[in-house]
Order: sequence, then C-alpha cells, then structure tokens
Amino acid sequence: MSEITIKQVTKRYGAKQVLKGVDLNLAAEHIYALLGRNGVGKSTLLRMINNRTLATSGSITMDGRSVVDNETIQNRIYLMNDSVLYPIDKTVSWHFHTAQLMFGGFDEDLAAHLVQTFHVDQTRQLRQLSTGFKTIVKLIIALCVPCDYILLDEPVLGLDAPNREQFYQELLATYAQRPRTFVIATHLIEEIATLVDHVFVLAHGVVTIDEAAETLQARGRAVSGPHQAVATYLAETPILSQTTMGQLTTAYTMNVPAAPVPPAVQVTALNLQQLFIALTREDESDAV
Amino acid sequence: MRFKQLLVLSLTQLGKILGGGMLFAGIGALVLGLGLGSEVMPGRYLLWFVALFGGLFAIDWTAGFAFQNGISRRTMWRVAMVVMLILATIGSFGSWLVLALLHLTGQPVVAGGWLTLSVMWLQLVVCQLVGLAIGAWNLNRRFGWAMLGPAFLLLSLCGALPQIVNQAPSAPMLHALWWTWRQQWPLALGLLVASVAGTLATRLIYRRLEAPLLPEVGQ
Repeated sequence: MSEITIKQVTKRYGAKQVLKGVDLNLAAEHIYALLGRNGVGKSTLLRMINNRTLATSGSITMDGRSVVDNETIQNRIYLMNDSVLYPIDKTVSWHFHTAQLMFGGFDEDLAAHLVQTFHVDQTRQLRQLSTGFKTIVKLIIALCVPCDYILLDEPVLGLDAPNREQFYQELLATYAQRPRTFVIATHLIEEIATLVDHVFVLAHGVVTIDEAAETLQARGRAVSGPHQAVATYLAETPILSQTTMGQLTTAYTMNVPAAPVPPAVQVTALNLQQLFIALTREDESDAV
Repeated sequence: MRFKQLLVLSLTQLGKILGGGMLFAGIGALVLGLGLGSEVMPGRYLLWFVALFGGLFAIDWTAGFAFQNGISRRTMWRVAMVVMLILATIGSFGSWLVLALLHLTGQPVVAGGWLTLSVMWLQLVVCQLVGLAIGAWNLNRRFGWAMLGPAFLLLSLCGALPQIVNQAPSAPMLHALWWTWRQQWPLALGLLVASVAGTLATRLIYRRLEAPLLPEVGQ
C-alpha cells in the first residue's frame, strides 16, 4: 500500500513563515479531514503535495520517492481547489476527454452518471457555467480520474446545499466502489464529520491533532457550570480553551477527570466542529 | 506522451492568442500608422507586444494546465522552450528573409523595425538554445521554468526600446542573475558567457548587414 509521508515541511513566503515543520502520513484508502483556521497553510500544504509549490525545507515523499517534479507520482495525485486552471473556452466534454488523455483510465461511466445527477450540460464551455457548475465539473473530474490520492481543497465552494449533500453521497459511493485516499480541506466541518475517518488539525504552522475521527470525537468534552466548580473539577486537566459568560464558564477538554462530575457541572460531548473551534480558538477569558 | 500533448495544447493556445492579437495589432497599427503618418513604428511596437505578451500568456496558460494535470516543471519548461523556439525561429527567419531581400534588391526600404526585430529574435534564439542545452544537460533542475517569465517581460520592454536592447545583453544577464540567486554559480557563469557571446555575435552580424542599408537605425 502506498503512503505519502510529509516530514518537517516548512514554507516561508517572504518574511512570513506559514508552515513551521509539518509531519504527517497519508495512508492508502482513507478519507482525511485537513482542518485549520484561515491562512494556516492548508492549501499551501496540499499544493506542495501536488507539486504546485515547493517546500522551503523538509520532504514530501510517496513510497520513499520525492513527489517534487515526479510525474509518475504526480499522475497518482489530483488536487482540486478553487483555482480554475482549465481552459475556460473549452467545453465540459473536452475537459473530460483531456483528463482521460492526461491521466488515462478516466471513469467515463461515473462521469456520465454524475453529469446526469448534477444536470451538467457537457456541450457548454466552462466560462459559460455558473460558479457552482464550474465547481461541479471540477469535482466530477476529481472523482473520475484514476488517481490514488484525491486532494480536495474547499471542494464545495459555490455549491448549494442539495448539491453539497449530493456530492458527499457520491463521494462515499465512489469510495466504496473504488477505495482511494481523499484529503478534504474545508471549513464546513459539520458537513464532512460523518465522511472522514481521520482528522488533521493544522495550527500555528504545525499539525496539532493527528487522530482517528472517532477517537477524537469520543474524547472531546465541554464542561460547563459555575466558574469555581469548573475550575475545581478540571484543576488537574489540560484545557483546550474556555469561554466565560457572567458566572458561567464552559471549558473544552480532551480528557475529563475520572472523578465524579460535581452536581453543578455539566459534561457534554463535542461534535467535530465544536471540537475544532475549541482546539483552535484563542482564549476569550482568564484561564480557569 | 504528456510532453507532446502539452506541446500541442500550448501551440494551439498560442496560435489562438497570436492570431487574434496580431489581427488586432495589425488593425491598430494601420489606424495608428495612418493617423501618425508613419508606416512602421507603431506597428512594430504593437506587434512586439502582442507577440511577446501573447507568448507569455500562452506559456502561463500552459503552466496552469500542466499544474492541474500533474505535469512536472521539467516538462513544462521543455514545452515552453520549444514554443519559444518556434516563435523565435519564425521571427528570425522572417527578419533574415527581409534582410536578404534588402541586400538582393538593394532597396533601403523603411524596414528598420523589422531589422531591429531580427536582432531581438536572434537574441531570443541564442538565449533559449543555451537554456535548452542546460535543460537537456540538467533535467532535474526545478526552476528552469522560471527563467522564461522574466526574460519574456524584459524582452517585451526591450521591444519598445530597440536602441537599448542593441546595446545591452540584458536577457542573458537576467538569466544569469536568476541562477546566481539560486546559487548555481557554474550555471550562472556558463549561461552568462555563452549568452553574451551569442548576443555579441548576432549584434556583429546584424551591424555588418544593416549598416550600409539603414544608417538611421544604426548605432
């Protein structure tokens, strides 16, 4: 099974150090979420994996071979993002045909199915399509190319809710039929929470969370109650972040104490989005 | 295989850009030429900008398309080199043909623009031949691609300032600077020497051929 290994990757844009030493592995046949706040370097990381930009230092390898300018490897990686690098004066069917020429093994049956599902007019030029339909065409290509690693950077930008829902279903269906690795970088965390099996959180230029989605969600807890009660209960526990409103404090933690929960304190589970917010939020009040 | 596909796509795109651009520039040159009472100068500038920026756009398009399809910089660069060589060959062939015809007929027609253009094209050929040679020799060079953009831009500017470009081998200098910045000293030096020599040689030939015909364009 192939694997993409990212080791101590840094990226600097002029004086700004975006990535400060990213380490992560992308194994075969997983659906990963790559989460992080705006400007944290998610897109940069995906672009580096796809050879569109180069790391300042560190290495990105697939099965021990660098991905940089390696067409054999890049032929197995596909990045779909918000940029439209396709010729916009060409028809949708031309783009499908070209994807077949460039990658080979383009899944024409799936493309036909998706075209029908999303009501895409293949005879239209890309520039004649709305933003949403441009995204759909790019997604169709991403799902139909025979690559082992599909990197989706904000894949549903411009899609309405029904189309987003439809896309997630189609992604799962195609994944079930032909398992491969998807990496989804998005801010619509709730929408992908049930899709992904592993989560990376990027913060301050490094990977701060690298954990199975299920485990992560099982661990995340919000502890609410009077300020003093929460403080006492979590005295020995690392807190991710907290909010205070009047006398009430909500603290977010990955490890609730084994001690019984005090009567005034309430412990609730966190979903992925809440957990992400807790993990990346700057403290809004004094520490407990 | 991908090289050929990319090259075909790139040339198609270039053809479209240049076809449309040249038509537009031709009309513009005619209008300006008539308006300003000059037959050559406005047209020369317009054609220069269309050719060079058209080339730049085509290569930029090629790069974007290549990135989207997992094509390496190396292949991109080779495609760009071939595209530029084709451009340069067409340009220099046309210019030398004009020059040869002038010598054959002995007619000092007002063709200063074309003659100046020939030097530009020849410089471009020299630069890119050297670049191509480096590309063939050092195929893993990651940033070879980036040599082209600055050179194109500079040459575009030079197109509007023929007297300056006749005096300075600025394009090869820029290439060498790039490699210097990348701390590839032998490459930078080699490129500098080879390109300057090539540029000087073309300038020498040009001067010898041009001088008796077009003193008004001379140095």
